[in-house]
Amino acid sequence: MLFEFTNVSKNYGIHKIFRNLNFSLERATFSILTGPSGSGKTTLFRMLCGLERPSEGEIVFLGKRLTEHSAAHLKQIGLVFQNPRGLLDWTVYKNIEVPLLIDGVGEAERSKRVNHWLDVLGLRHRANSLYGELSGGEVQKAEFARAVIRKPRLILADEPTAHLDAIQSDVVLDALWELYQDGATVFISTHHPPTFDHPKIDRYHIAGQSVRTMNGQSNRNDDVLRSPYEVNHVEVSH
Amino acid sequence: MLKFLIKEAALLTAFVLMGGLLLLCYWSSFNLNQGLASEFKNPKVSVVLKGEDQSELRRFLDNNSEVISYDVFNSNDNKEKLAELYPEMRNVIEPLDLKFFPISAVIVVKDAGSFLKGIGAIESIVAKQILHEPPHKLIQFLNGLTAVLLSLWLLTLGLVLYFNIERIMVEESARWSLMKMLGAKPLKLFMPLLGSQILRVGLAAALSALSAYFISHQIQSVISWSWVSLPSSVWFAYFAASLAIASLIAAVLFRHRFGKVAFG
Repeated sequence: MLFEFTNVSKNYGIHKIFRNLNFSLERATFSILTGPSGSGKTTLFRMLCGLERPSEGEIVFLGKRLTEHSAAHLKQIGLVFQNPRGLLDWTVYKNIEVPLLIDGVGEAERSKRVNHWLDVLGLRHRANSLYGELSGGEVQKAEFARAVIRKPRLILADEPTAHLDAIQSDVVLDALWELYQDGATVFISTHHPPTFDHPKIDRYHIAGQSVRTMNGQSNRNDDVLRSPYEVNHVEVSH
Repeated sequence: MLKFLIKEAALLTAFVLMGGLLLLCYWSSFNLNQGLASEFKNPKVSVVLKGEDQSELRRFLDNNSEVISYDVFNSNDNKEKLAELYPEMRNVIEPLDLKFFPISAVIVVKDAGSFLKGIGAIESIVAKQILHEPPHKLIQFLNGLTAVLLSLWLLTLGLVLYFNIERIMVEESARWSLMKMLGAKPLKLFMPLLGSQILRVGLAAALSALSAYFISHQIQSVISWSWVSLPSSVWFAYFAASLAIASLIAAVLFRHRFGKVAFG
């Protein structure tokens, strides 16, 4: 088990995002969470990183109760946010290299890994460009490269293809699939379900009035996600 | 930004001034205490005699167990002393008859209270006795002033660091936020920040010590007294304390501000 939410509730003032959420993910799985904007996908991710504390319940990550984020915990998670977090006055290369600098990785290894991802994502010609000079799609790919360059155990990607065209989306999704094949757990949230499909992909859906799992063998068989509203049905499908 | 920089420069100047004043005040206090320590190692009593006979006084002092040492000054001695003290009055003092200058004695005693009680035995020959005490109020004032300057110095140091770290935080918040998200240890961000703070405070502390040293030398040349320079350990302690306190304040401020930086 990579992580497990047990009876987790999350409120913002009187606004309830989740109530008694029970949810878990096994290691080395590829999961897609879909749902409309404002349904709580990002909150779920933020709680998983320790950026948000649940109002009630507990979250266990790799066997340890998660009370708040710690450096060690965060290093195991590759985060791809909807909005870019990179520094505009740094080059693409430097922005992607940062996690390795934090980890104290040697220059040769850093260069090898950064160049690998620049090649995979077609950003090599932009390596020395400032972040502020990139297009939206290029920024998103650079953000993705920075998130995965450490080879994290869990990749949380919040709308990783929102600013990409179909071809570029496929490049990113292929890269995620490769990482999954190498043993990483991939968890994507999106309001546009990816076009590609595979029997090994677990799909979850959060909606305003209902929450359902569309393929939930790896999860507990009770409500996988519970919205502030009653769960109307749990649907399993391939 | 310019407003921030002007504020920081003003505070840094204030810190240099406060440091300089603190050291000067401590130096004055130190000198006063040193001077008084040698002057008032034991209580001193001055005695003025009614008549011209000093034998009874000498007999009393020789037999009193409280007396450590004494000096008797006859009328001529006192006349000379007065003329030396007021050289511009010498022409007036010289023609005066010796009867206007009584015999006196300065007596160093073990316990002033016991000695003054015992002096009642020669009451008939003593016109006046004076107990010399160290200027407690002046010492208290200087100690109080040192404490006030120390508090102001600490406050200035805190403000210097506060405004600087605030400005750095505004400039660096995006980077800190990214680093935080990527799991960087706060220490990695704090150490370069601390380095720059230590450098600034170290230079300011050195500058304030230098100005205090220079001003103290000027005072020594203007006011003739047996001045004593501050021991090198005091200068070193001032410098080390500046750096240590600056590190502590910077750590507390950084911890507070870094905790508030948005996560990613």
